[in-house]
Amino acid sequence: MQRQLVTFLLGSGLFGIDVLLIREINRGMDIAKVCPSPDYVEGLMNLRGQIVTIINPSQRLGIKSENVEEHSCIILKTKHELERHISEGLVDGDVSKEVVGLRVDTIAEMVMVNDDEMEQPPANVGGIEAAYIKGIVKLENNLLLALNLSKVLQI
Amino acid sequence: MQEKEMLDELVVESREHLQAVEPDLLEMEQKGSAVSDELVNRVFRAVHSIKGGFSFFGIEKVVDLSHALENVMSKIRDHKLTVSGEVVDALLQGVDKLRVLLDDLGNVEQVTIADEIARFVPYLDPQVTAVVPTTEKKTTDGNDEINLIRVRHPEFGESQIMEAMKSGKGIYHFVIDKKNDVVGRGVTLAALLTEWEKFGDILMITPGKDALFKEKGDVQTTGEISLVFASVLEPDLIGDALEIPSDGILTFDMREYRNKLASPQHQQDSISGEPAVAIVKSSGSVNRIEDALRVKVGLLNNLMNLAGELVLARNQLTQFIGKKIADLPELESMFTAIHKSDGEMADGNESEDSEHHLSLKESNAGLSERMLREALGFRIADIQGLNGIIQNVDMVTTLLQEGIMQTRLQPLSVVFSKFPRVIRDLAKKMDKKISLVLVGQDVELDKSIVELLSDPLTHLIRNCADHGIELPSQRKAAQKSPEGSVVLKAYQGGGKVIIEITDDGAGINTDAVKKKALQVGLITPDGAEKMSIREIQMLIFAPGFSTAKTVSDVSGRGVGMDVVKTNIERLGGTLDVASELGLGTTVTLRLPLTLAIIPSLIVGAEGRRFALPQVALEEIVRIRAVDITQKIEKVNDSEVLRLRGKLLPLIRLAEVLGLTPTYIDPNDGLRKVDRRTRFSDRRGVPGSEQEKLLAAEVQNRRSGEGDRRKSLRNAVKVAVLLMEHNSYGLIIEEIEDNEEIVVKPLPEYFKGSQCYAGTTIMGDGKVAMILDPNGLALTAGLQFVQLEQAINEEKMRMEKEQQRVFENILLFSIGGSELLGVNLSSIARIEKHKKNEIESVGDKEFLKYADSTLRLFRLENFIPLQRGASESESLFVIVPKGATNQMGFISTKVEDAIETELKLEKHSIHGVGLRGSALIGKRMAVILDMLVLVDEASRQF
Repeated sequence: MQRQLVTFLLGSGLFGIDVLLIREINRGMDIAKVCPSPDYVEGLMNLRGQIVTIINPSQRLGIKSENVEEHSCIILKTKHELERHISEGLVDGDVSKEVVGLRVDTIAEMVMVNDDEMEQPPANVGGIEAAYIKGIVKLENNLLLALNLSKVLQI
Repeated sequence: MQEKEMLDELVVESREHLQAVEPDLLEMEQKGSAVSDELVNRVFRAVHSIKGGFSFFGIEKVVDLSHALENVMSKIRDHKLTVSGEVVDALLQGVDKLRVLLDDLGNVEQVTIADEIARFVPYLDPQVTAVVPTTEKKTTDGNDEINLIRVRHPEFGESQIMEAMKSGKGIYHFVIDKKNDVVGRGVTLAALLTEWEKFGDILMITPGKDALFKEKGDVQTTGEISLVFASVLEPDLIGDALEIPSDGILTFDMREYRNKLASPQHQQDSISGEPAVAIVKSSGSVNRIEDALRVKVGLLNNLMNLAGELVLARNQLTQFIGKKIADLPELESMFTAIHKSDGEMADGNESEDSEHHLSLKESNAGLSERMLREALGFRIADIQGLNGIIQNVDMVTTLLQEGIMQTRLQPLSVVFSKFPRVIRDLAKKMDKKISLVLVGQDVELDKSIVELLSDPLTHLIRNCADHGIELPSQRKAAQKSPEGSVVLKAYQGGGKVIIEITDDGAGINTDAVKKKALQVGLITPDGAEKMSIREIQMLIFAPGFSTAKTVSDVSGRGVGMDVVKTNIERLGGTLDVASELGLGTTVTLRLPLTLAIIPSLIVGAEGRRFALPQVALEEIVRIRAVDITQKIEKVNDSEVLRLRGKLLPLIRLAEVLGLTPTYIDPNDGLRKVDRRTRFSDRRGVPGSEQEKLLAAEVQNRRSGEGDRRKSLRNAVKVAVLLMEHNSYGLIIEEIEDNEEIVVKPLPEYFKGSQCYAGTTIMGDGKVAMILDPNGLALTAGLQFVQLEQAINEEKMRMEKEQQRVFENILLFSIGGSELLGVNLSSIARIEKHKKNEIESVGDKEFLKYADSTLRLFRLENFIPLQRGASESESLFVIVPKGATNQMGFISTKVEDAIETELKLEKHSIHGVGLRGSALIGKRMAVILDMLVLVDEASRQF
């Protein structure tokens, strides 16, 4: 099956998420820090009256986040919103029940990937634990790591 | 998927039907034979639609039971059965069972409905059983059945059929296995048969009864028994009633047989076998029109979010337009300027240009002027017109938000309606006579509150009936009417919904309560002495308390009332009790209108904002900087606040949450991380690390760094929070506005912390966390019991100390004869200066340092003392601690510093800033209160 991945940078690494899982992408949003909170939680955001928990995947993966002017937030769909897609087997049901967002450094382009191009990750990909990676895609001059959201979003 | 949704909807609908049926049944009971057709029909219809709905899904237990209910109702409707308490009891029991079935549809097979059906049997007149069951079994030709039955029961024939038909009973045939059906149930065959005879008659049994019982009881435990059974029960019900699988029951189809006989008399009978729906329609009663719509709560929540967002957008818009309007005069003046310069240009060109040119210029200027004026005019008109539109949007938005809020409100009748039944059942059970009056059922509350209110209210009502109302004989003896009354009243007041539960029963016996509380160790004998009547009455809500002499199955297990209190408080409500012995008791609940919106105080700590729910907030105490050392003390490493003679444990919000200390940089106004050590205890010993830090800080200030950092010199703000049994103080840094906030659930990622109760979006669109006072106390590890002990010890110690106080006293004089004393710990430092170093500006005196000044005060200006006539060349400046401003007091001579047990004499000398006098050595010294003096002096800045 062909999938369309939205790719983005965390540090210097290129990562991807299935576009079907994404509700919207925002830039320059006001994120309110919460203390105490797990360190992989960046804070809370007001998305048109809805509270969105922003997760920092860099923190989870152990990547040093790039110092960019404005981080982007990828807001994911909820399990409920994806119910049909999941039952049809179009996407994995590894999203959260609540609205969450991922804070990424820079959004890159869309990449079409065939399922058979996706390879199993080795135990350790450049210091990143394999559990966080669903698969690796070899692009022309780069490696694209598809994120395993169930692990990244794990509470 | 879709089917499941439909089923869910059906369950919801059916529950509503049942809820409506119950009061109707109670009304039927009251009216007895005078019951109106409309009422009966209403119940009938409700039960019928439940039956119809579930037959579609093939959930037979529900269908069967509702069918049985329907049969009894149809008999009442046809006036063939008079309504009595027993009938209603049976019907109510059926309704209850239906509810049980609905609650757990997945496991209906494990629920037996035999008891309920057995209760209906006496009311099922054979003639009425003709209503067509919706789950009709496939019928076969009557003759085949007769033949089948005859295989085992050769004697079965026409006579039995005619007999059964005359009585209107159905004929059933089935075979039971002795091992499974008799022994497996743990009963004897005889007992089983007796049980079954409640449901109908055993026409035939093979082997015969004689053969079965001949051999000493039921020794034989294997083999099959074949039965022919006649019963008024429908085919669907017989299996449930006898608790045997219904597919093993052969039903002899009476109607089929009848039709075959086709006798005129039988045909007439079959008319009554029309579908029930037809009958309902012809009854001519008016259907209650549905003027309500079922909406998903999630959808409403979403709408509420959007409305909130709209409010925000409106605010931004209003601000933006407001700014534009403010810009208008500037625009106008710009226009005038352009107009003027255009005119000048035209003037300057006039002389040398030809007419043609001139007219061109003129028209150019005129054109640009007209264009500008037009453009400007547009803008002005636009903006002014916009104002009206904005106001309109503003109003509509507000109305919209209010409207959406209201959609979440539900009338209390949802909860109240079940209480008539509760009271009726309890009264019957306990042989009491109780009437229940419901007032204010249409008062509306937030859905979530109404739902959560059900259990606590039921408990309170039960309590009234059980403990409150006496037995009729006791009531007579007390010269009260034998019928007790319980009044459940709801009304709105002061932005809250108030619910009162009043009974005219025995009231609370405070002596009994006291005795019991002592017995279970809730209070101490000492404490009992001091308690007010109300405090004693409130003890019934303490955990582990129950005064009922015996444990009844209604209430009185000693759990419950405390749970009621907890639940009400969880809803943000309060609970109160008032009782008079012999006259009755009133329990009053005060509840917020909605949980979704709560009034709260916005507080700040380290630059972050939090919402503190007002329910928990008792008061806010501001402690002046000069009073801090006096009022905040340390007990067992925890800070406590001395508040009106009581000690209140303190928590620092920023510390509990683990916020990084920050300060506002005076240079750029930005908040920055503070790396300095925080010291919360300022009652330091002189010379300790803290003292040095403090001194260093003072030095910093003096050197002109202008420390405007949020420092410990500022007043402390304490929010006193009331918890279930205790209160504590929460130290916050900033207090902002009161705001009505919309509560949003806490995202799962923060569930690990107990500090927060939820989140909210504030008026400016920023996200803020809602503090959970209980959780904060838990997180801070406030151990109230231990702390209380410690506080008590501290109190005792202090009481002792009041008799023996050792203090370090600095003795000095100001030139006069008096010897003055001041506690050393209230002094930062003492400086020695020459008299001529003091500079005077007006009547103010200063001491000048390299880059700052120290304001000097003379003590004689504050306290009634004499200034010495002679002043020596050198002076001592006493610089106090805890002053917000740079100040020092002038002394002429420092005599000594001693540690002494001060025996203060307060009567001979008193005044502002004086603690009293004390004998030191052989001299009398006036002891000053430096904190008060600093405060006094501060006012002169």
